Amino acid sequence: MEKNYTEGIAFILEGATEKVFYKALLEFLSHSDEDIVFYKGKSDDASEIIFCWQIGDRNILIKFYVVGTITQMVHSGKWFQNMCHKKHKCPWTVYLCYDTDSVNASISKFYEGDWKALRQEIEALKETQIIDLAASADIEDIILLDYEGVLNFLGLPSHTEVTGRKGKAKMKALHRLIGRAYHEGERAEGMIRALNFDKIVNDAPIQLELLKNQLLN
Amino acid sequence: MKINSISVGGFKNLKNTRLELDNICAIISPNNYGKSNFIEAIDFGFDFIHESRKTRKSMMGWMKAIPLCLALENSEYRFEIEFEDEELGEYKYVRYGFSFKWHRDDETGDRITDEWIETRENTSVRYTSYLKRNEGKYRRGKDTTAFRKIELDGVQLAIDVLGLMEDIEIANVIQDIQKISFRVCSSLDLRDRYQPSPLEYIEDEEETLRFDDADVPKALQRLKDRAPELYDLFEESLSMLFPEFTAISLNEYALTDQNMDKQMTVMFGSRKLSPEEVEKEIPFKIRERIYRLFVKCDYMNQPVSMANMSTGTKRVIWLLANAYIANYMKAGLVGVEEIETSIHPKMMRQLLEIITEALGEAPLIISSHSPYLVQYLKPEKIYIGIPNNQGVAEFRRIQKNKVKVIAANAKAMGLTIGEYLFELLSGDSDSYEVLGGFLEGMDS
Repeated sequence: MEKNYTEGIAFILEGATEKVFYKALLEFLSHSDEDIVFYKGKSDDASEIIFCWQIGDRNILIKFYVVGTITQMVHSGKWFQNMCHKKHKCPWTVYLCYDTDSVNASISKFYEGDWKALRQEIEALKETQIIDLAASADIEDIILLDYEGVLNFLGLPSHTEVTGRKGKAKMKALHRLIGRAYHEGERAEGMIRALNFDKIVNDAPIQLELLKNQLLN
Repeated sequence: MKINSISVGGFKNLKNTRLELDNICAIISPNNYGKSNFIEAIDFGFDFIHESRKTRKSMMGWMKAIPLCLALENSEYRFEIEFEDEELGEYKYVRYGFSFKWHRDDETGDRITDEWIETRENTSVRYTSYLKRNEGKYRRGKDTTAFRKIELDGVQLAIDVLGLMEDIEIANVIQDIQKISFRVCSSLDLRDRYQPSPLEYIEDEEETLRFDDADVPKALQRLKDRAPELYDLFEESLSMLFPEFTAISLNEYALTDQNMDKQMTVMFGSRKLSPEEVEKEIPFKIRERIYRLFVKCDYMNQPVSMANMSTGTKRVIWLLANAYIANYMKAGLVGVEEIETSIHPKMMRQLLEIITEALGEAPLIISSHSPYLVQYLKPEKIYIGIPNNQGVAEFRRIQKNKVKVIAANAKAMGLTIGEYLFELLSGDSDSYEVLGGFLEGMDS
């Protein structure tokens, strides 16, 4: 299914929930214009899942890379270099999606300076723009910007209050109220897809507008 | 109460090693180095505090623990703990320790050689001593600088005596020392933990809640009875780790045949024992109740007993159960050996997060052979044992100012930090020398 792409977008994400979130956001944005075609497919050698965004002359290749348990941060730069930049000769935009606080957690696969080092590694490549979608916030903090939507999805009354230092703790507490465990990653897809992304894009402490503008303008 | 450090040494092949504790820290080394000895040495020290004088005497002669390697053959066992407790007020920070000389054929051993109790109000001042054991003196509190006499024999700890005194100001400090406990998960074979024998020791009381119980479902039932809120958290954690589990149930079964004892014949040689003799001679009884843990899965047409689940699943549940039981028991410190055994790396981060959260303030010490697990910890919380030609185990921490170099080297080699550390540990003496340069007290 691979064609000549006019541009490429690579998401390098902190975790599996971020991937679900950004996929759902793209899905949402794709409904902004009925001429947009957004679909999932496989690379020609069937070794990768890729996404395509087509409108008019634009044919955008979109790839996701979650910093995994096995591959870890050290391989993220190589992934972009070899699987994106070398493979597809087109201008690339790399979105680095992470919580700037993760490094401070006592259990974390991230080390001080990891994202900066990745940025430097990618910056050296031609025709590549890098955008940090990063803040001192869990992805759950971003999701909870549509608090009403989350409560609605969980079937909780609109006046429900929740405490917790960060989004993940709050999300766990909300799920506890309905006797369920909060599941990260693909198990959170139903809730994420039900979000009001207009509200989230407007209120987010990360520059989701930049992604929206790149895709829709 | 929060334990801030532990030091232990002079046990088997263990040289004195100090761990500064946070909510989690790890010890790593090749096999047959001394990781288990380290965990066991801590357990031994706490047991020594809690045991009777008679048991202490036999502990000091425990052949399996007396150092045999030449470099440590004259080493005394040494134990020290530092902790803080807001409720102790001006005695908030405490350092307590003791040492003893192991049994020796020349009869110079089997005696406690030193013991110290020190406290301070904050970390910017020095510790103040309340015990000079070798001079036979103690101080009753801050309000006096005078030391009083105390007479102790070779198997008596001063805390045994001071804890009984009425006019002593540091009584709460001593109570804290006496109540700190260490819990260890060291079993690797959990086959029988979910389907234990219907027989149990007569001394075992069914209602007892034990850490690392031989019967996991029973222990969980006890937790559910005593602390339902912790049991709910256990269930929630299990569901987070295994989203495919849609329901968990603990079932209790009464063994209904109450006349089983009467139907049982116990022979001693050719003689049939009377029920009274059976009770006296046979230390077992048949359980009144047994427990089973069942899970319902997305992809199963009926609930499945945990006894039939995989080794890894059993291990995760065992770890979680013990973490919440340790919380209930207010354990001061918890150790887990080779926590990653049978567990996929994918689950490691979440499992570590859940266990440390379940333990609350109790620090967790883990031993590990997994670069994937180590990758999730702060480098300065990793203590490494480098092989040496003396057969001595000694764990030292990665220096904070070397973390950048380690990260840069790992990246240059296309490795994660965890992989890089294990690569060095898997190398030759040159690798050990490089690794040694990254550790505290070994770079000169």
